[in-house]
Amino acid sequence: MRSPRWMGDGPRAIEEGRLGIFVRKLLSHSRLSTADQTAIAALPFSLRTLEPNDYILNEGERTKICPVLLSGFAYRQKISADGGRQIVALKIPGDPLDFQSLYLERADHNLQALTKVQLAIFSLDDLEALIAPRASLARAVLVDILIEASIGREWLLNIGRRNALARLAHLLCELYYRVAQIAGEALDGFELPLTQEQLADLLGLTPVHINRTIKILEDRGAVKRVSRRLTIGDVDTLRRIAEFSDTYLHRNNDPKG
Amino acid sequence: MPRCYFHTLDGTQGIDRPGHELADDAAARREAVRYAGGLLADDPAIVVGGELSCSIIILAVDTNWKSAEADSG
Repeated sequence: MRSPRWMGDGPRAIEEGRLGIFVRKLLSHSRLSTADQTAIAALPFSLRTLEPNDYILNEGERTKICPVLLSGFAYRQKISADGGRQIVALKIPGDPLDFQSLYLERADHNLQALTKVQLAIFSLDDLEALIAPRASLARAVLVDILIEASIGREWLLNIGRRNALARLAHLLCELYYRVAQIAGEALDGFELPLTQEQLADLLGLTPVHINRTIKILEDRGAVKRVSRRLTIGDVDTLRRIAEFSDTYLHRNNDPKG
Repeated sequence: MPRCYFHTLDGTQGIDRPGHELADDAAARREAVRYAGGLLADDPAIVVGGELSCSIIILAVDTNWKSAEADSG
């Protein structure tokens, strides 16, 4: 039987509380005291469920809220004057979606749900009041923003300089490691939430080229495709094809480590 | 919208099974040229003796899976 797509915590959310995945995300790159963690968990929030492609944030918007992805996947995109779309970031369960609006007045991109998503919506005022007196939390917010910027730099290299095969393999490696980290386990047969058209808009290739490249990865045993669903078959093969180094993900960012 | 199949003939069996929905012949032609550009950028060695050793055949069918009258590229 096909394992279901990993979309978030499931039963674990009941043990850890609904915000457990968000706290874990911050802990993956920053040290937080128990008091810090309790303070986050005590923040008021509302839950919102959105369908695939629903907009979370629009370019040009001034926002008063900060959504955090509790389950499902989302993406940032920008559109050129002639209608070409570029997906500029992928967000996975646990990710805060708009720390940037704590510091910048207007949204500079669109944010959309990739799959069905559940969001925890915080008010920016509450978040600001939370982090202002807590240096470690302010630092965690900054580190989160810096790591997203680091991933953006790697994507520039990926799109600008890697060939189609290495480019796709690199993205799949990245997604696998990011999702496995927040899931806290190796993911057997991780199913990708992206369609070929979305992969094309993310990697700057045509859908036809994506289709051909997937087929090459399939022939090498790196991915499996059942009808239109793409799953990762062998992450080591992907690593070799992409010559993947995970330094840019800053997965062990413990300052004392 | 017609469904177009972009088969790539370059010594391997590049048969496009799922195909792609595109607005019309002009869109299919644009897609084919962009795709060929991508292949070329990937591997400049596909130009052998000044000629492109690769061809893309577009087969367009309508929603009833009948071949379109005007075939392109």
